[in-house]
Amino acid sequence: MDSSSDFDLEFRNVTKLFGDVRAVDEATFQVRRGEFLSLLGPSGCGKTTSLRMIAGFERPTSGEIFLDGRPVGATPPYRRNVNTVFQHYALFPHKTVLDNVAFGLRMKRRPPAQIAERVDRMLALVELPGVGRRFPHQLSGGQQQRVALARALINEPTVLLLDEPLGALDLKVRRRMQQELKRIHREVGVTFVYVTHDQEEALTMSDRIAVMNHGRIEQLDTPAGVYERPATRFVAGFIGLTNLLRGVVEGRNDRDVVVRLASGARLRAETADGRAPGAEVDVAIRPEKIQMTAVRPAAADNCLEGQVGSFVYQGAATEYQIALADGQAVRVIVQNIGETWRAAVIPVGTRVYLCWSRGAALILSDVGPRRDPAEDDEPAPERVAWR
Amino acid sequence: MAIEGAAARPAVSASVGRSARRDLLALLNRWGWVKVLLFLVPACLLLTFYLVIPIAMLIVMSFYRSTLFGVVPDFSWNNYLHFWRNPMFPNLLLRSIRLAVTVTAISLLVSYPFAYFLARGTRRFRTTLLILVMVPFWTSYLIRTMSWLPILGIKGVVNYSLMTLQIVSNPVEVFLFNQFSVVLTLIHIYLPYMVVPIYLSLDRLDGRLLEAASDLGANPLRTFWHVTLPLSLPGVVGGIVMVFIAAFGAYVTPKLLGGSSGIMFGNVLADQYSGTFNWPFGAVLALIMIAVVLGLLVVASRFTRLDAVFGARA
Amino acid sequence: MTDGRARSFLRIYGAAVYVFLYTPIVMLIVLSFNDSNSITLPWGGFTWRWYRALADNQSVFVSLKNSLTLGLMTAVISTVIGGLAAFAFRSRFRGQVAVMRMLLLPFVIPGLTIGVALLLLFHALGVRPGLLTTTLVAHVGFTLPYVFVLISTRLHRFDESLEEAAMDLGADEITTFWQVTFPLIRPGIVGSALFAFTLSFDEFIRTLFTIGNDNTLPIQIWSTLGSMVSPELNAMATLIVAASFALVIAGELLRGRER
Repeated sequence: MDSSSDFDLEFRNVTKLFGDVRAVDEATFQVRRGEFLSLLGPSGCGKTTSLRMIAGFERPTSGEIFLDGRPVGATPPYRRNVNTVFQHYALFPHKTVLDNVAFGLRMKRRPPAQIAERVDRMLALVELPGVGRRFPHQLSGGQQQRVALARALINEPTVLLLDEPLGALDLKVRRRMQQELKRIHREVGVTFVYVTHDQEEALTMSDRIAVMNHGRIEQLDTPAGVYERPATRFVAGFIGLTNLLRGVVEGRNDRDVVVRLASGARLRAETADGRAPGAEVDVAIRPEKIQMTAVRPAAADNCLEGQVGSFVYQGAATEYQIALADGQAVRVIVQNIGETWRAAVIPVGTRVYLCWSRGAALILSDVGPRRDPAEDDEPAPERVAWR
Repeated sequence: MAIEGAAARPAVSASVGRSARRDLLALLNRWGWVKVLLFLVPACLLLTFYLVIPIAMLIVMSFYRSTLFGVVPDFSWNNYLHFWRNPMFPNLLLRSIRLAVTVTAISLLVSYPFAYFLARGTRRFRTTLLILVMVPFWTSYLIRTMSWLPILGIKGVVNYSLMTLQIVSNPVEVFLFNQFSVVLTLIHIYLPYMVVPIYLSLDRLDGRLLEAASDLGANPLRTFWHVTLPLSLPGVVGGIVMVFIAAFGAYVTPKLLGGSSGIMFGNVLADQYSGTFNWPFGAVLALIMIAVVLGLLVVASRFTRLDAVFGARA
Repeated sequence: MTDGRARSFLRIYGAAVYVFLYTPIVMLIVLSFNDSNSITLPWGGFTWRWYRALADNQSVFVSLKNSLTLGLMTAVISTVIGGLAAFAFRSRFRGQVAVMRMLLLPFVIPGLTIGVALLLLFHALGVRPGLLTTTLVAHVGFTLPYVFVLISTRLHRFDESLEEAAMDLGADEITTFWQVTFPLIRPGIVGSALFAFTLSFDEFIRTLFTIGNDNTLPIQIWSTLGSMVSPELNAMATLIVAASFALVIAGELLRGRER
């Protein structure tokens, strides 16, 4: 059964074994035309292996990969319409920038005039006009990265693969390149599959993120979805900071679940998850979503009492470590809004109330990931066609 | 994806050639071992003729009998017994081993500080200094052996200087045509064999390890003993193996400079193939020489992974 | 070791070792200009006559030609065979440890025993010893492990992502090799070939047992040493040392270019 060609890329139950190790475990997902998908996870989670299987440097042990609706099978990398931007750029040191960028077109035996014109256009796109005659070692890291990008894009691949391309760059250069990549993605309209372990990078750049762990895709969702509604404890912990409060489900109705903590406190959370009473769950609440006050508010969905244990000044915000009555610790992040930090900081030992609304927290259990929301109807992202 | 632009229609033969190439590559990709096999066949074939079969012939020949009329195929242990029965041969073997050990030991003592100097003592001129070490390495040992003749002989440089300085009145014969000259010359010509492996392993040593040791309270001497020396052990073992094998297997040097007291195992071995024409016995001697060398390798491999020493990767 | 005294000691020691290494060679060179019939002192005055005698010596030229031809052929064949083997070891395969041990074994078998064994082999096969037959086999076998190790090491340092990038961009395995891999390892390969040439040029002991009536330069030196010892030998040796020096420099230049 062929895949629909709305999808540039599709994985169906793809598994890759290296000996006994499951590098990729039953990965299944579709990527729409022109989408920017990030594969995000810690080292060893299978993201790079997945990328290499798309490029053709590894073959799945089982399952099938579809490119443009057709299965790739055993096609070697040089006959797939996929191009890669390598982690350390892999620019040919013995060829000029021009020869590097033109390489793919020369392999396809395009006429020289056409090649020259396209190379100029590509170098302009990555904002490196006129470096054609230089050699890679004469360029800075950021420039080399752009050449690698140009070299890949010039071939008009169905999917462009990027393997942690910004890892070797300084912070400021990296931030700038992130913007650049987004701009180029919008201008060119090619599907990007981007591998990274930096969750901030994934959040800022992607249309959707596949969070991977030990070879499995734990969640595939938009950045907001992954951040606001993490599907598993791993995702909640990997993306940003999260507090996890262990408790037992006491009761539920259509919209709410009541969870009772060990200390006896009760928390309400909004969830459609069908946890039955008696089940052990975690209530996940992000540190910035907690309101910390010295006085108990009149009406609040959830409130916990605690004492300030320590705090850390972080410039734009302060992170407080609050000790609850039952010994658990909760992290709260408060923006440093006041004129002077010193005056606004809440001293150690102060009794405080931590409150948040029903919708701000989440119930997490250790069961598997949610369904792929791409199956819901969502409009394709706007972009300007480059072709 | 449509190909834009006008591309010339390829000739039929070119496209046939291209699809043959495609099929070949697909085949090699599918059966990876074919490629490995193809690439290894020439080397393995050569080594069969250079190593495997010749040594097998040595073994076979060692059991043949040597008669007045030539070599007779047979299976007899005579040649081996001949080796043991005549005390001259085992003594010669032991003497040669002793000489080789002496050469190796002195070479090690001389080379280690020198390699250390090259690896950690200099930064400027290092390339020049290395080239200067390599030039003797790349010069025939025959020439280097013969270069000692004008120095050690009764009319040689040493004697000339001694007499000019009036330390002695007559030329001293003790410098040449004995074990001393053999040992000295062997040390000289095989010095680079010891220096280079030690240099390489010292060069690979991360200076930060030494800084760490110093940071943790070790003075230079203890740093050397606990950090540098153990980490340079692969190089040391490699050098010992190379020099011992070269010294033990020496033929040219003892023949040219050894006189009658400096004869080594190799000379007697070679004699079986020129003067005496006792090929079977010569084969026995050759096998014994190989056995000694392999024995050393076995011992050495206890101390370090020899494959890595010889430059192969894991 | 940043101790100042230790540094000076090492420097003096290093200088002393260099003196030890080079004194005989320097003596050789000096004595090749000695106007005297003995290969050693006393000094009889400066002369070029031994070099002139060398130039007139036909047999030396024949031997030199033989050595050069043999060296060149050995270098080429050995580099090709060794290079192929090195490439084979880029993949994993069963028995690779055993094969590598066999490839490295010639390093440790003494040349004398190999020479003798080869003599037995060719005698049994009824092959007459000759420069470009039996001796060539000996030389290629001798230089093979060196070339293999040198090229293997170079390949090991090679960045494979460059090859993946080429394939990613549409070059098949053969094109990738010619366009990317080979140009980048070429200096290393040439350097290995150069080294193999030098090894073959200087090789003596295995040659002694496998060469018939032909002469290579080392063989000729040996027979001259046995019969008539004259400063002409010193002149010959000096020229060979000069040539080795030139080859080493060439090798270093090649390695420098690669960086």
